[in-house]
Amino acid sequence: MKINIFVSLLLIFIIIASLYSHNFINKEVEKIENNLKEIKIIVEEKDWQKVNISKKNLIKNWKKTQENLSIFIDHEAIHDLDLSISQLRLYLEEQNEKKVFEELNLSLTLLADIKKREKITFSNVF
Amino acid sequence: MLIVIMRTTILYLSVIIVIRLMGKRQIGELQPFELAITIMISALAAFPMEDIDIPLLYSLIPIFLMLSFQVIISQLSLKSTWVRSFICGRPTILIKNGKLEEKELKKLRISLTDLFEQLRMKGYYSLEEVEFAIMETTGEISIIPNSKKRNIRIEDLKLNVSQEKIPIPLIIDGKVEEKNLKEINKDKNWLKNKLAKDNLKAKDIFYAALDTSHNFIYQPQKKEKS
Repeated sequence: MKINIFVSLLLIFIIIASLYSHNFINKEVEKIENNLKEIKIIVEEKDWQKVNISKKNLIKNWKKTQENLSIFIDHEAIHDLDLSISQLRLYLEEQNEKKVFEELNLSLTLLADIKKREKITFSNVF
Repeated sequence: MLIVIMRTTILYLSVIIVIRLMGKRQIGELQPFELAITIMISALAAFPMEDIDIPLLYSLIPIFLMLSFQVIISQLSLKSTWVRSFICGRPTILIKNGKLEEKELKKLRISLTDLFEQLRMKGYYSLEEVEFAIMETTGEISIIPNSKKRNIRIEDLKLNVSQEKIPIPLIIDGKVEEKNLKEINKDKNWLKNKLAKDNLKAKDIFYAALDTSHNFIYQPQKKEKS
């Protein structure tokens, strides 16, 4: 009887935790996406002073998000994104607009890929 | 390296807990699907041990999920014979009243060579020694021998024998098994008196027990030569 109760609770916990983690991953990814989109707009306006502030926010948020996401998703995906954000940081410091946009697009694509992998779709399940 | 050690420890403990919760049957007695689940759990635990890029949750969640399913299936099998026969199948009679059941052998894709091999391994070298042979759901074959060919039993000789009791360990490697002492309604003083005849104490004893006739037996520890 004890094991039945334990297993029932375990099953309920797994389902609830999975739903929570799905929401959590989406929120964390959206946080970084918003940071990146903000940077994109500022770079288009060529306000490099403001870019510095956004860059610091991005780095601060990414550091926390990276740790949180590593519990739930494949570390290789996080490594790729980490590399991309590091490159972006470099290009922002150099104020290399063309490279910044390239790297921003790459980072946004990688983030979209993380969200896509967590969706319950036919291709993901099979 | 420390990460690998920590991950291995977590996964090892999780697998022990899960296997323990799944039940006490030995590998040889598992249903085929239970064996498959045990192998799957081992594989799931092995991958994140060596690949630190895989989150631990990718292993722990499936392992505990399989434990849940396994317990649910076991419970359903207990409550419903239909579920049991669907999951585990039914025992099949391969030899009935000394005659081979050709239809059942073909259904289970068992050749006569395989069947006779199994019979020989069970100690039956001729078909006439076997009255019934049943293929159990675990894949093992059980034999009911022909009454005229089976081994002699005590009741055939009409002998009166007393029932053997379960042996009860009382001291293992110098440590007194207090729970077992309580089982037989004895205490440490009784044990002390038993050992006092040879001037021994409990810590000097390697193994002491009540045997199947409930006689007190013991073996002292070997003293290391200095």
